Parts: sequence; C-alpha cells; structure tokens
Amino acid sequence: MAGASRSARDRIEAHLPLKPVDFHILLVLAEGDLHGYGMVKAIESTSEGRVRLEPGNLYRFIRRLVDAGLVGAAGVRAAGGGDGERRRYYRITAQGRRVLAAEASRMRSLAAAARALVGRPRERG
Amino acid sequence: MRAVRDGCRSERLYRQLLRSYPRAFREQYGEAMVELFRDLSEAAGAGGSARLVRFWLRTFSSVVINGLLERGGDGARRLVEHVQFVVSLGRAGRTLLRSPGVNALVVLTLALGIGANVALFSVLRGVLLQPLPFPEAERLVRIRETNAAVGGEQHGPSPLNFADWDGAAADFESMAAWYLTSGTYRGDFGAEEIRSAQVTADFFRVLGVRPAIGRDFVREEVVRYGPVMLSDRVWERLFGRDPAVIGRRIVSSNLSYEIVGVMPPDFAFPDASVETWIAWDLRNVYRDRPESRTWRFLDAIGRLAPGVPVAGAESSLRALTTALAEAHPAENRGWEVSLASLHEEMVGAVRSTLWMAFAAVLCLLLIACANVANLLLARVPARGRDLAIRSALGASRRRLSHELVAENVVLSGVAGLLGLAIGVAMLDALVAIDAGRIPRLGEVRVDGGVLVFTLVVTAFTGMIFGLVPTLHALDGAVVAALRGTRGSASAAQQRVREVFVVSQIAVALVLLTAASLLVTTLSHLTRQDPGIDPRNVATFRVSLDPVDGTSEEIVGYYDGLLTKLRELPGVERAGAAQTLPLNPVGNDFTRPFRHTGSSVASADAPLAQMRIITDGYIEAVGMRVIAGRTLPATVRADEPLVALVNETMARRLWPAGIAVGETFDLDFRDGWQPYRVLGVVADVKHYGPRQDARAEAYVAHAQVPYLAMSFAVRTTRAARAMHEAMRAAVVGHLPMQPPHNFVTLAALTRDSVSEERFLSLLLTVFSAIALLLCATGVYGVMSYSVSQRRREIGVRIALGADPRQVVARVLGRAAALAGTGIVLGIVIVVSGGGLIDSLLYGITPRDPVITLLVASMMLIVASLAAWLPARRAASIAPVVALGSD
Repeated sequence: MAGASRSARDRIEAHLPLKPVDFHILLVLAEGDLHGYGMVKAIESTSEGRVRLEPGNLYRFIRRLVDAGLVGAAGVRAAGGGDGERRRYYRITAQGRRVLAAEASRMRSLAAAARALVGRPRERG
Repeated sequence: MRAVRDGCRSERLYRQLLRSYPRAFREQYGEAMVELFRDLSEAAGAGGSARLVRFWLRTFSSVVINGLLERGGDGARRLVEHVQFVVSLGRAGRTLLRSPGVNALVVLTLALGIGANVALFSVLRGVLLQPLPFPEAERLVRIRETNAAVGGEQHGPSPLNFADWDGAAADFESMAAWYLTSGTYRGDFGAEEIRSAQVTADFFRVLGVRPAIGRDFVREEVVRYGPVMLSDRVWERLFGRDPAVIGRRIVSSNLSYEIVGVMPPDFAFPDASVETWIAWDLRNVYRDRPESRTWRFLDAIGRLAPGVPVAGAESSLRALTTALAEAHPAENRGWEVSLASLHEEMVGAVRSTLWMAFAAVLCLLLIACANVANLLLARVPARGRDLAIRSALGASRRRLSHELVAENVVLSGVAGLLGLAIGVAMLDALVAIDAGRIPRLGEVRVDGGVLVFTLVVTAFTGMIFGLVPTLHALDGAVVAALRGTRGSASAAQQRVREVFVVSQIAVALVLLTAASLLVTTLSHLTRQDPGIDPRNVATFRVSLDPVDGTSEEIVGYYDGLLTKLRELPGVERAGAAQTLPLNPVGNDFTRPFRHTGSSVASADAPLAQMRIITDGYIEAVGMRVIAGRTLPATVRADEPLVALVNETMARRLWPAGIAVGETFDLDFRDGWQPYRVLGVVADVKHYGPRQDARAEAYVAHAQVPYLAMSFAVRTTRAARAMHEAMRAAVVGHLPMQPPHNFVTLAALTRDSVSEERFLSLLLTVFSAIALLLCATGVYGVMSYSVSQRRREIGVRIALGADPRQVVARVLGRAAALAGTGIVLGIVIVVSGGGLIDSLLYGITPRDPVITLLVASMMLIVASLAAWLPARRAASIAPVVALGSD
C-alpha cells in the first residue's frame, strides 16, 4: 500500500515543476469548465497579463495537458454569451487537480526560501 | 451584413493557415481553434483597425510557427528555434547594455585580440599562403648556378650558359633571365633616371602576364637591346597616359628604343622599383666574349612544362649543364644548376617572422579570452541567483542556456565586427610602415578568406570565453543559489578562475620571453661593428651616360664632380664606389683572385667582391685602415695596378704574413692582372649585420673606370638637408645627367635590421598588453577569493592573527599561481624554443638569464596585482566579517 501511494506521488512529481502556462491553464480550469476564449480571458486576468496566449499555441498546450491526462474534453454546449453559438469546453481531471495542488505547495516553500534569502540584511557594501 | 461577409472571408483565410498543423491535430482541435479565432477577432475588431492589424500579424505568425512546431519535423523545429534565437539576441543586447562598463571592457579586449589576428592573418595569407599573382604560379621556378668549390653559394646563371639552356631544356615551357640596371631617359620631359630590367624576350610569357595596352616582345625583333615595355607609372608620369605612345621611341644611353606596350598597374616583377623592361638578346650581346661564361650575374626564372615536378626539371637541366661543363671546362667545371619554387624564393626570408608574429597575436587572443572568461565568471553568482529563481518558476534549462549563449553571441559578434575594423586599420598601418620590407605586402587584401577567418576566430573566441561561465551559471550557481549558500560551487569556480590565470601567465611568459630574445637580438645586431661610420653620410647614384665614353672622359667626369662636391659648404669628405654597403641599388659583382704566380683557372679560383672606389671613399664612409695606407688621389691609369684588401681577403691570401706590399692576381678587365696591395681595411658588413664579411678587393676607379657610381658624402650637418645642394652640384656639373636614389647611410643601416625592429616592436607591444591583462587577471581572481573568504579571514583576525600574516597568505597564494604559470611557460619555452632560433642572433632561445629575468618580472607583476586585495583582506574588521553571513 505504501508502495502504491509512493508511485502515485511519483506520478504527480513527474509533472513538476509545471511550466507557467500549464500552471495557469490548470488554475483557471480548477474554477470551472471553460472554452478557448474563456481560458484566454481568465488567464490574462489571473496572470496579470504576464502569460499571453495566442490563437496558435493555446490548443497545443491543451493537447499536451490532454495527452498527460491532466485535462479532458467537456463536450460541446451553448456559450453563456446569449448569441446562441456553441463552444467546445474543457475541464480539469482529478489527476490535474492533484498536480496543481502539488505545484502550489512547491511554490509556497520556494517563496519561503526566497523570502528568507531576500529578507536578510544586505551583505555587500 | 458586410461585417459578416468579412468575418467569413477572414475565417476562410484562418482555416487555410490551420493547414500548417498536422491533420490529426486539426481533426481534434480545428473547430475549437476556429471558435477561439472567431471570439478573438470579434474582440480585436471592437478595438479599431490598428488593433485588428496587430491581431492579424500575431495570429498569422503564431499559427504558422506553432503549426510547424506541432508537425514536429526536426527541421521545422530547428528552424523555429533559430528564429527564436535571433529574436533572443536582441533581448541579450538589451541585457548587456544594463552593465555597459564591464561589457565594453569585454568587447574592447576581445576586439583588440581579434583585430590583431585579422591583420596578421591577412598578411600571412597574402604573402605566404596565396599563390603569386601569375597564372599557374606553382609552375614558376627560380634557376641558379651553384658550385661547392666556391662555398656553395647560389649565383645567377651566366649569359652564355643561360642562352644555351634556353630552348634546349625539355622540361621547361619557357625561360627568362634579367638584370637590374638603370638608365637616364631623355625626352620632352627632360632627363630622368629610371630603374629598369634588361629582360630576355620571353620574360612576360614565362610569367603569363600580357601588357595592358600594346603588345609583348617578339623573339625575332630583339637584336642586342630593345624594344622597351613601360610600367603604368612611367606611362603616367612621363607620357600622361597617352595611348599614342605605342610605337614612339625613347632614348636612353644613346640608344633609341621603340615602345611596344604598357604593363598593367599591379604588375611588379622582379620588384616594384622597376619601371621599364628593355628586351635583351644575350647571345648577340655576348657572342664575341667567351669569357662572359664565367660572369654569373643574371637572375633567371622558368615555367615548367605542365605536370613536371621541380626535382624532375632540375635533374634534366643538370644533364644539360654536365654537357656544357664538358664543352667549356675552364668556365663551367664544378658548376651545377639548382631550381627552387619562385614563391618560396620570394617570401622564404620572412616566413619565420610572419609565423612568429602570428603566433604572438594568437597568444594575445588566448590571454584576452582568459581575461574575459574571468570577468564573466565574476558575474556568475549574481547571475546564478537570478537564473535559479527563474528556473524554479518553470523556465526550462534550455531556455536559460539559450539566453546565456545569446549574450555570448552578441558580445563576440560585436567584438568580431569591431575587431574586423581594427584589423583593417592595423593592416593599413602595417602596409604604411612597410613592416620590415615584407615582400608582396602590396598584394595583401581583406577578402572573403579573411572574413571567414574573422568569423571562425570570433566563434572560437566566443566559445572559449563563454562556455565555462555559461556552464557554471547554469549548474553550480543554480544549485548554490537555491540552497542560499555559496559553498562548493564557488570553490569550483575559484579553481576554474585560477586555471585561467595560470594559463594566462604561462602564455604571457612565452610572449615576454620571445620579445626579450628579439630585443636582445636587435641590440646585438645594432652593436655589431659595421666597419663603417654611418652618421651624417649622404649617398646618391649617378649613372653616367653615354655608355661609349672613353676611360679618360669617365674618370674626368667623376673627378670634376667630386671636386665640386667637396667645395659645397658642410661637406667634409666625398668619394664614390660602384656599390655601397647595405644599398641594393648598385652593381655588386665578384671576380676570381689568386696568388700571383699561381696558375689556377678562373673557374676554380675563389671569388672576391669587387669594390671600385675613388679616392676619399674610404674616409667618406668611415672605414678603418688597419695596415698600410688608403688609395692616394694621385693614382694614375698608366701606373701599375694597386688595390686595398679587407681583412678576410688578406687572411685568405696570406694567413700568417703581412699583406701590404704583396701582389695578387685578379681576373678583371683584360684577364689575369697583378695588383699590388697598398693597405688592409677592416671588414665591412656589406650585406647587413647577420652576414659574415666576404673577401673584398678595393681597386682604383682611376685605373679601372666604371660608368655608374654611388657617391658617399660625409657632412657636418644633417645629411638629408644636403640632398638639394648635391643635386644642384651634379646637374650643374653636367646638365641632363641627373643624380638618383638619394638615401642617407644612417637610413640604410636602420633598414638593415628593419625586420628585427618590426618584430621586436610588435612583440614588445603585445607582451606589454599581455602583462597588463595578466595583472588584471591576477587582481580579479585574488580580490574575488578574498571577498569569498571574508568570514574565514575575519575569524582568523578575531583570533589574533597578525594582519601581516594575512597579507602574506594572500600574496603567497598569488605567488603560487604565478609560479605554476611560470613553470608551465618555461616548459613551453624550452620545448618550443627551436621555432624562434632562426630569428635570433647572438643568443639562444633557452638563454637562462632571459628566462630568469622574465620569470621574476612575471612574479613581481603578479605580486603587485595581488597587493591591493591582500591589503583589503588584512583590513577586514572581524565583527563585520562575522555578521555578513
């Protein structure tokens, strides 16, 4: 049993560290299913404009996350915009949520380390 | 409605773009991408047309690039990465501009190194590596006669021997001989002395060069002398580039020559001083003088038949000379023929100088690279922390290394461009100072080959100085910074920096040793007794014309001119000889000599250099009379022949006895004649300080007059300032008889060591730069080490260590580094010293004094450079040091 949980953790660790883009995609999908344009807008706001997706690369990232089992297709439905057009939606998988959580805790400890380093009295001159 | 149609059209275009993705990807995500595009373009359209254009540009490039990337074709991926790399260069440039000081230093250091390499490589390539500027130049050979019995020296062929070879030698396509001379040309332009070559009819055909205008010589038209070919310069200077000059006649030495052609401007053979070529038929001129078979004064070249090796042509020509030796035993016994590549003959003398200079600039570049690597390594800790944080945030190692490599590419690229500019400027300077009279220097160009070399050197440089710091920044520093410590990685770095400093010191020691050896060589050469006193002696030449003057006329002309010169204010002494020491312009030739009473034949007799001198010559050039007396002014043509001999000749003739009063025979004018020795003069280094003196016989111009004479005039004021007064005196003595080749004896003496002077200057400058770079290298590595060990040193001081002890420890470390470098350098000097041997004079490459001096100098420089960091270490306050970490 202990061996099994170890290998599950290994499967999660194998994805770390996440690329910033992947991290943001998982992050916005964790709040709910989204279509392409929805992801672009959401990531623009969560990353404060630092991660910018282009029409050409978004679905390459999606393809990679789908292949890795972190994201899955969530069917075609009418968008909420009221124009009646239908969109393809994507959702985060359970494994995706676990990886996202692991990455978040890794960054927390990293931030603590960085704070300790930067917060020290100046060393030189 | 219109908006919808536009939307459809752009959507169609977008769907076309999507074809750059693989089919499988399109099938799965194509529709989703179209939906995204629709939403994005709607949003962009709302922002005005400018935003729409930007949106389209972005969409286009992003879709195409990502489509190709998704296709995963390796080629496509690499292409895209290249594009991204180029983009990242711009970013790297901006990064580098943030610390302009260090980066400017880096670029300048490298540019100097690259520039020196570009300049020297251009020279090396143009002079040594590129073929001579003639078609199929590898088939051109120099032809000489040698005779082991007369010292194995190389002599030009004699006219009749050459005429016998010409046409009979099977392995040759053609042959030509020439003799350098000068003549007074007279015409509408006045009178001008022009340096010419008398050449056999095939001269230009052997070289494979056609006249720019007019035609080549035709064998059948040459009877004794003429017609004449002009150089581009003479055509310009005397005839204003008038094309109608072809077919006209010019007069020199009472002979009238038809002008048949003008050579192209860049044609300069046998050298650039020659301005006319006079066709010459050796057989006709020398037919009635069988004794001329021993006058080996010509220069000769040949063009080998296609596919014939030099050795093969030499052995077939030897068969011919054996036959000639049997036909003319008195003149040809013991004489062999020897061939050598013309290219090698022309540039062989400067080969080692150029390679030496090139090796020196390579060393300089290596030192510069080591210094730059150390500068960049010093930045690694700061850089490493930045990289570590970014790598923790998810930037891939590949991306970070791309950025670092991009920075190095920008640094070395800028350095390469600047270096090319510096190199071109240095090359111009080298050409301007004629860098030790290097042959073919005028042909040197910065061309494609040089650009390729610059590119290779720049790339190589970038690799050397960039690789190690980059690897360190990526590996050790990342780990260390993440841990928040500066532990093992810094120690590794310090070791790398020390390795750089040690190699720097080793290379600098080699350079400094070479420079010291050459400076010593130069001082040995200039301190050689030249046998003359070159101070305040003006020289010039007069080639008396017409040639058919009687002996009395010739002697009368020169006596009168000497009297006029001696009357000039400021003139102390004046005399003339047919050839002057160190001066290539003149008629230097040898004649056989023997003891009076001996019956040895001319072909077997040793040779003496002939010096035909007027009275006053010995005093004017400052020669010393060792025994007896100089030639008196009163020597007359109808008296028994008299001569002076130099020490070498006196020793040859009378090894143990007294020369003065004895007689010897000289085969000169009318066969063997006895000459009585009036005095013995000290040996003169006629051919430069490196050459041993040869046997010289000084005979009286009054008894054996010579037509063209070089004057030496000792003055009480600066010799150069006297040139105009002397010119006026010569022209006043006989109008239309101009003097030429004004040069001071001091300048000739200086030029005789110009190659050594050039090389020692170059190496001194380079080794000074190398020392400076080493000093900054040692300083950098020691201050870094001190700053790293503040804590340790602080503890030591807190525990009561004497500051002097701290200083000693730092200095000791620097000395250990310097010592290692010095030992390494000495090993290189000892094992490679032979390479420089041929350039030295009076000193060996492994001279212990020089080695010791250079080694102590390196040690002193290293200690001085370490002194400041050592002082800083000693002044570390214990408390501050402990609190800092």
